[in-house]
Amino acid sequence: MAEFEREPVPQERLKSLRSFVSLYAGEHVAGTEFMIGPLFLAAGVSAFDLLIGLLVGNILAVLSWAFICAPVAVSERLTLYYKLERICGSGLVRIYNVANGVLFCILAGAMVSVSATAVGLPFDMKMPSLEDILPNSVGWVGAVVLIGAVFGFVAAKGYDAMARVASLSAPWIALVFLACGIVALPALGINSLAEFWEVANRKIWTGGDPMTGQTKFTIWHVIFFAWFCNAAMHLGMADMSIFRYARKWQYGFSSAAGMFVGHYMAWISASLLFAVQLMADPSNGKVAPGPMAYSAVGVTGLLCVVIAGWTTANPTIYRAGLAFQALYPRSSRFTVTLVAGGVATVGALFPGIVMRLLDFVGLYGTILVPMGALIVVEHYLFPLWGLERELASRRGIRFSLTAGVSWLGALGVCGILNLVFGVQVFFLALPGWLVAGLLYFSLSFVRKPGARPTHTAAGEVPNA
Amino acid sequence: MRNALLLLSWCGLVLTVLPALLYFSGVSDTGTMKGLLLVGTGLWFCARIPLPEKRDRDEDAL
Repeated sequence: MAEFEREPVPQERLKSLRSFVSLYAGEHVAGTEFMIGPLFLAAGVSAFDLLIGLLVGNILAVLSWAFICAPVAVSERLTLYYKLERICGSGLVRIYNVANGVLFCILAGAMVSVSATAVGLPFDMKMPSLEDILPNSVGWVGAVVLIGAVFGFVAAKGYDAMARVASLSAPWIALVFLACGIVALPALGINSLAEFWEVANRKIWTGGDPMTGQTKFTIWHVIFFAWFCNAAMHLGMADMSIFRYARKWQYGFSSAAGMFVGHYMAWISASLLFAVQLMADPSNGKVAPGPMAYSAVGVTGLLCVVIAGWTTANPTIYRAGLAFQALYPRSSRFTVTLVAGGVATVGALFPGIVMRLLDFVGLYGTILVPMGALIVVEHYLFPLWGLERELASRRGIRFSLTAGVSWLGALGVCGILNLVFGVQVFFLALPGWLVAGLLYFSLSFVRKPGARPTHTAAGEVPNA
Repeated sequence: MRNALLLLSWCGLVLTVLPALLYFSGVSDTGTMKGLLLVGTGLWFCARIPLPEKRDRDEDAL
């Protein structure tokens, strides 16, 4: 991102709705969808809970983009990082960047794992199973290291060429996912659409016990997972960087293209592939996207797993490199991206991480999402209560204690909810976001005791 | 030339999903379906790669 990093996007550089639709449709059909779909099945979800839960959760995610992220982005037209720097100071943003970078590396590691299952297939590599935590074979280590090295090197060289491959692969990847789902149906005994619901309940998503090491999913798990798996982007406001180019806040609804292609159709298709594998051999609990896609649609499936993993791992490693570079601005981008690729590869070696991808995605949202609440509270509530916005920027503060305490306080509350009250990680992002917003508003209000409602229109800066 | 490539690429895209539908309907067997999918994949990439990318001025910045 080389333009308008520290200034609002000018009117003449705004983009059409089509750009946002294709961007979201491409970005949310990733290699990891091949893992997430099967993990729903492994979590013992029922057909109604999955199909309706995903529908509701994805609608809530789209509404979060449309009514929370996009309006602020269109009003401010700044990147998330610059906006946070103005609110929290550069010191706190650097810590946020490191957290972001590490989480990006783990996510990229999951994508490396997905691709490794496809590359290892022709060599009869032993695939990791749901219970595996440590590397299960020399072949697995070799495939992951090879893929990780290639992905890391290409990302370090800059991903212009890869971005082109990603953009032209996106519609093809989506259709291969669809083809996988359609081809899986006859193998499951569904020969007409009328049979789908009955077979889905009886044979596919039966709602039984979860597999070893997996959490049992109810409809609430599915709703919250679908809503918050991209929480860092909508409620966490990371996609301010995208919607700052939107002509209208209503462009936030374009996220529906990504949700209903990637997080509905692709997840269900991948889940069906795993169901076929389990039906053929109930003892085969290996979630290996490569073999699953190959058995359904042949070499096309294998190519799809590699390309979907590659095209999404590359920008993720690249972004992780950029996040780390913020810590050491004088270091070369090439080197830090290679390091990020190395961290991602080490993470990919451990199947325990990718097999717990649902939990990781929940954790990812929980850690990053509270910072978005600070932006929302500043945007909507501060003007109404006469509180000074962007204090760090106005007063030259490098580390805003108010923002830092709000973020860590929210994470602390989430930690207590999880460890003491047993609230699962999938449900923590929402309370984390609310607590961070409440804390930030309260602490800011306490610091300015004379503040009273001024009924100023949102977006104005009373103290400027 | 551009139009021909565009047409080919769209044919490729159709062939990426149509064989699966034919297989589901019982019209084609597994081998034919997998073969046609591969042909569709080849067509899509071979036709798309030479096509110049249609981009907005600040697509990269997005």
